[in-house]
Amino acid sequence: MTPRSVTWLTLVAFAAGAATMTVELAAVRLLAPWYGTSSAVWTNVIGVVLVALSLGYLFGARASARPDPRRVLGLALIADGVATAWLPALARPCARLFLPEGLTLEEAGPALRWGSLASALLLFAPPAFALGTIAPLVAECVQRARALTAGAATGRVLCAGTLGSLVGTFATTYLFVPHAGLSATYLGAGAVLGGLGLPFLLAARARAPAAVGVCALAGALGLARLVPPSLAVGEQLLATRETQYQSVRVVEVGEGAARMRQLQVNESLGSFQSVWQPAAGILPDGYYYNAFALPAWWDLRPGPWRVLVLGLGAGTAWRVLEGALPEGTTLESTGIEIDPGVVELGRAWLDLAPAGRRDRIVASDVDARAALHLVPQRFDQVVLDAYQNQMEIPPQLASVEFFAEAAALLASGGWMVVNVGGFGLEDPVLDALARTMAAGFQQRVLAVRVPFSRNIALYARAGGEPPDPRDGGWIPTRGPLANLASAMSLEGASRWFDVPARAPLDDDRNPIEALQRESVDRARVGSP
Amino acid sequence: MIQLVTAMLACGPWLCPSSDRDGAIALAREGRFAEALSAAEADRDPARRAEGLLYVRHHAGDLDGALRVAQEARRSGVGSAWLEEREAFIALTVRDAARTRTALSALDARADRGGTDIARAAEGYRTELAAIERTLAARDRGNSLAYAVVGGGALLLLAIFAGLALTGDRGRPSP
Repeated sequence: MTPRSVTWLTLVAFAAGAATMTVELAAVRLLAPWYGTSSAVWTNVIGVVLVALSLGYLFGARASARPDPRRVLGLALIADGVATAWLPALARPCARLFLPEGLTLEEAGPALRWGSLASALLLFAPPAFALGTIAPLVAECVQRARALTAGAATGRVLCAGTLGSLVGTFATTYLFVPHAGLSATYLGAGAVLGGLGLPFLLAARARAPAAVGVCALAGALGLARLVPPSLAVGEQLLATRETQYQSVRVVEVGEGAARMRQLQVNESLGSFQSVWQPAAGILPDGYYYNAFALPAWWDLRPGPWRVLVLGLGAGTAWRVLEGALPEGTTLESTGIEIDPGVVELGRAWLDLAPAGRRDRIVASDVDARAALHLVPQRFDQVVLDAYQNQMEIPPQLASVEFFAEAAALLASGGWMVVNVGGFGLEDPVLDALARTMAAGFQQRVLAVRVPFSRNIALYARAGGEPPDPRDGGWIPTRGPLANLASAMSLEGASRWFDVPARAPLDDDRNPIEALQRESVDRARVGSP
Repeated sequence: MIQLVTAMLACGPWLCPSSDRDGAIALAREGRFAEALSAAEADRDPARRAEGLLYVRHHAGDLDGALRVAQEARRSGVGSAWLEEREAFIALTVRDAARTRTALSALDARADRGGTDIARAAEGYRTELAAIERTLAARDRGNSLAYAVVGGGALLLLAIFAGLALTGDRGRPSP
């Protein structure tokens, strides 16, 4: 097999197709530690890759008319290999140009959208452009080698490229990134592209570009590694992993009984997915998980307290409930967590119950909405604490149909508690979500600010209403939650939402992502 | 040192003679926040009322509410060193640079009239404020750079596109 052979050329088309999807799919993961993986970041990356590819196609078409297109093809492959292999090393300095360390979510605002677009442009446009040039050049070489028609040559190349894209898509998501990591994925893709291009350059006697390319590739293989965001002062890294969904790490701060561990996803903007302290029970001020335990104190009945947690993470809600339920009440719970990697880290570092316990059932690798149809029993409480991309409530978990399905899973008088990250009781996300929840339950919904935090807890009840914070039944007369409930009862800390004539969010029309952007923008305008 | 000064300033109100404010503080420390708020509101002295309200709101975790109390007190001219110090402290906690600056200016004015502890507290807060402002300035520079890169990149891509698409093919056609 030589650079002249059609088999070799087909292999190049296949590899270019695979590399295109690898660059594109792993691109969002590469940017995630700084910008998250929101729809806006995906859109920016895909947009940049498409523009660069289209330009590459045009350039490749022009270059294919040269007397020896193999030389250009070799140069394009080597350049692409180098540009791809250096991506892990360039991600951090590039992101830091647009997004300095130490910003909070509301301070970041437009920096997330425009910074991710600018970063995508600088990082991914060059390799995507080079990848775009390959298909027309290969088609030209195939056509000349076999004296085929343009259609026949292009069809073969497109077939090989598309099959390569298919393999690249699945392999990147399920194999390369989770098992080899981002750096190795990009280095591997770069090495393959460069390796395929080298014979073309040698055959065309282009030794100088070949030598430069080999040196640049070798440098990348030796030096180019992704450097994640720094740990905060006092944080100690316990574990880190690339899962098929996100970058996850466990960090610890403090010592002894005051130790706290956080499971962080994609590490940006100080967000965390789960927290752990040595003792089960309520967490220090400011952690919204404590608000999940209030309904059991309002019900105050002995026996099993059956809870479904949608968005279990590493099991923080369970640990809080385990230590904060009233005496005589025992927790029986099912938790849904989409990311099996989070569950594994939770079991290793955050005391998440091991597999096999009948009173702590974990279902992972399944979306919380789909899971609603798979749980057979009725629950005393449903907890929704599911965020994607650090800051977005998934649309399928923010529709009137979802809340109606969740209400149907509750025993009579059962409770639903939703954690909402918002900026005050007038926040547009909170407003839409609470009214949608009220429509799903056909009952008024109560929103209460969690003290010392930006979180708000939404309470709804099947066949009734939660207690009013200004009435006597709100504050438990004893137990660890009396202070929390007392603080939540202050004037201005809560708001009721009536059942609306039409739910703002449903499965058909769900502008939750636009509302989330509006929420952050409003908060930014409100801040300096 | 900053923590020490902060603690000294934070315990200010209950060093004064007994009042509704002191009762409010005692109730808030027991976690009886609604009663504490009512007690604070009952204080007839505007400065003490504001101090009591701020203390209760702050200890109940209503940081925005506590800031509102301090702001209203300052605007209506019933501020005290303790209120201004707390306002600066809470504004820093919620990273509200503008409010921190305003509260520190008020504290500076008091420090000019004497008060080493106040000056020390203000100095520590000013360092933290400077760090926040540096971060925000870096963000603004990053935003400007992002706009420039996106705008420049779009123009460059458009120019390349026009150059490739509109100038026609050159060279000989493939065999």
